[in-house]
Amino acid sequence: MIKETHAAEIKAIVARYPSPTSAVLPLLYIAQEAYGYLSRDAIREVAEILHMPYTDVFEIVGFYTLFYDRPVGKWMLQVCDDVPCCYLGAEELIAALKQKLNIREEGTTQDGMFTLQRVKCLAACDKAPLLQANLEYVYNVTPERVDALLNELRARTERGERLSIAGHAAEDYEFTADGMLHLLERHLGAIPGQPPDPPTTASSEAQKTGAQAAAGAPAEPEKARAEARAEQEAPIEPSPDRSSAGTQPDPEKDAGAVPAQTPQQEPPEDESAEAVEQQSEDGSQATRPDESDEVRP
Amino acid sequence: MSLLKEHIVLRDIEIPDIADFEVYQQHGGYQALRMALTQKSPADIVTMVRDAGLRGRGGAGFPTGVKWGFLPKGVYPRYLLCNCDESEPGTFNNHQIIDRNPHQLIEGIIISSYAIECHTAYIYARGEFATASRTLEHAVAQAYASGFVGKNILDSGFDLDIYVHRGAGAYICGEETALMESLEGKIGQPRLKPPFPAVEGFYAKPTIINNVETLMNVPPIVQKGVDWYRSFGTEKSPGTKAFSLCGHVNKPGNYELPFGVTLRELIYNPAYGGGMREDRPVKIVVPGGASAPWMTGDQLDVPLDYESLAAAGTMLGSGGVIVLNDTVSAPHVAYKFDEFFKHESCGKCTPCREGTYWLVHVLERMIEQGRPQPDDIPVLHDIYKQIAGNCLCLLGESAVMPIKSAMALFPEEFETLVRANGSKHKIELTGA
Repeated sequence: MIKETHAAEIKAIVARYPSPTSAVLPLLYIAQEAYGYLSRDAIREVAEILHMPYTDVFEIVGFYTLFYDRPVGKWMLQVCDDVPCCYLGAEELIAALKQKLNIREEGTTQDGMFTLQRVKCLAACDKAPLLQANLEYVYNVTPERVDALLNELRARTERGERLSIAGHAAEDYEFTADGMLHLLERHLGAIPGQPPDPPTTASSEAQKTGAQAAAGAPAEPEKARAEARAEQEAPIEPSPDRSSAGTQPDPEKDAGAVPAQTPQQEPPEDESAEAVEQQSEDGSQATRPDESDEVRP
Repeated sequence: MSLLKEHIVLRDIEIPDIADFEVYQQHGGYQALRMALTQKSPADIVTMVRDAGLRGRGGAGFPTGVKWGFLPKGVYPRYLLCNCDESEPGTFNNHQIIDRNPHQLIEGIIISSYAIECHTAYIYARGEFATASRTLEHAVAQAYASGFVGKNILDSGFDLDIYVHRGAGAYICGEETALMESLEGKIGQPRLKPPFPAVEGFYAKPTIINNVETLMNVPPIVQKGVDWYRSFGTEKSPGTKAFSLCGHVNKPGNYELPFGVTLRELIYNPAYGGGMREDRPVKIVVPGGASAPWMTGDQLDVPLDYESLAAAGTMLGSGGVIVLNDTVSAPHVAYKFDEFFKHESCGKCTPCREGTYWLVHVLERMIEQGRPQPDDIPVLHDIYKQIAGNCLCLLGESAVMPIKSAMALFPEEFETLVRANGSKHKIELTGA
């Protein structure tokens, strides 16, 4: 129950607003992070914490696209299909992902690793076509680089890196012209009065090496676009500073520093299978490999 | 070559590491805040921003100082909401501004809060801006730790708290009243105006909502003065704009230019767009995000400022410039844009909810399925005319623009599609 596991964080969030109801989106993110998706119980739990009617919170979960009310993969892959992405390779990218993952749009791989979604504008149209993985931008993914991307995401999972379906651990990445995947460092400097390099997820080192190891794909004939972007994407040296970026936004508030590590969000196997079956029955969102025809959501 | 000797927003062009808190301060960062708190009254700041002619960069172009002046006297608490819910196709500068120069936004929020006498500010970032939100949280924490935010800022007696609040995936929450609804913990459906937010906004309190890029302009105006600021841009559109350029250009990206530069300059200058891919001709320009009426390749000499674009029958909007070449089909572009608006319609107003559904339904049947009906063209005209002017907010109005523009500028493409009835002709998507 997040009420117990995230008590201090929830208290700090609620204190930010004139009324507790304002905290509903942040709390739904916490619940989604803790449970992997928003089950009915999770939604009711958030409603109870905030003394809101259940129906209001169910309505909110239904309204906002980043709340998932059914089990999803450890990695949510979202590809924009708007203008201009649709003219710059989005459809090809979606097709490549469907083929490699052997799923339909909105489907989840049988190992529970990936869910694929077609989404609306991700607001980085200069890097079209756009893909986010757990709300982390990965720039310059091409159909040829899909393998490298998926291998890297699998490797990050295997390393036990903290995955955040809610984007709480988000960093952005990009493929450079040589086909290598790089972490985009954020050089913000330390927070005055705080240790410059507090230990965060043990993964940051592994992340760098892993990102490079996984980038197996050879350089692709993307030169014109790569050159066009070269000025903004010079690989940056890893800096210890970045690890402090995940710390508490508001040092004056006591609680809620780095959102407490919860047992990694793993959709219970049985439930996930059940959900898949239900989807198959109503014919809308099956994950069966043999039904991989395109279905538009 | 660059047309700007000095950047106001994307200052990392001159100072590459300006995202770093120390570097920002070494280059005058937080000096404007110090000046404001120690030498100027809130009213002085409002006057400066009004005299500088700063206009809202989110789309409407409303004068910021005038908006601040709408706050009713003596009514507290007040709130400042920074609108970072950028989600419209072709509009993409907020995220990069935060990546590249986050502290100028924080400083702008603090000074603006002082000017409007509020003690709590929220940055409403779209849910997909997960990394940018972490960047902002870090920057806010740095500002707290240095006494720029919090209690008794710089011993001035002024208190301010800033919080980063992430949305969860809804374009409509960029509409200011929907943003407030969302921030109050509801679904993001717009409110009827009036009352305007300045009078009755967040939790019915006086509220100012300003775009990220708008607030970025406040510290330089305070620090360097009105005359300096007005040396950029045009008489009625002073300052600069971080234009977001995308589509079939060689170098898509965010480029800060003074208002009044021509579209041709933005697209073809080697320092900016660098010309069209494969030197193909420009077919469609959408100059202000997906909701702006379209322009064509023979209008490239129109200056990019609020008045000139309005005179050309379109709008500057968010400054998101989408340039498409002659490989695209105008009906297909309209279909994709309206699919976006259909997806993002909040469902509150029937003309928008049903109208966008039917627009997309007819266009999809015509384009994707190759099954046009003989009267599809009058039907499409009929649908958008029933949306126009009949919705609470501008989303419905925006959905009218793509289809109306496409049918006005490229009527023959619709006629060809309708004539192709039965041939199962499907327009080829041309990848690049």
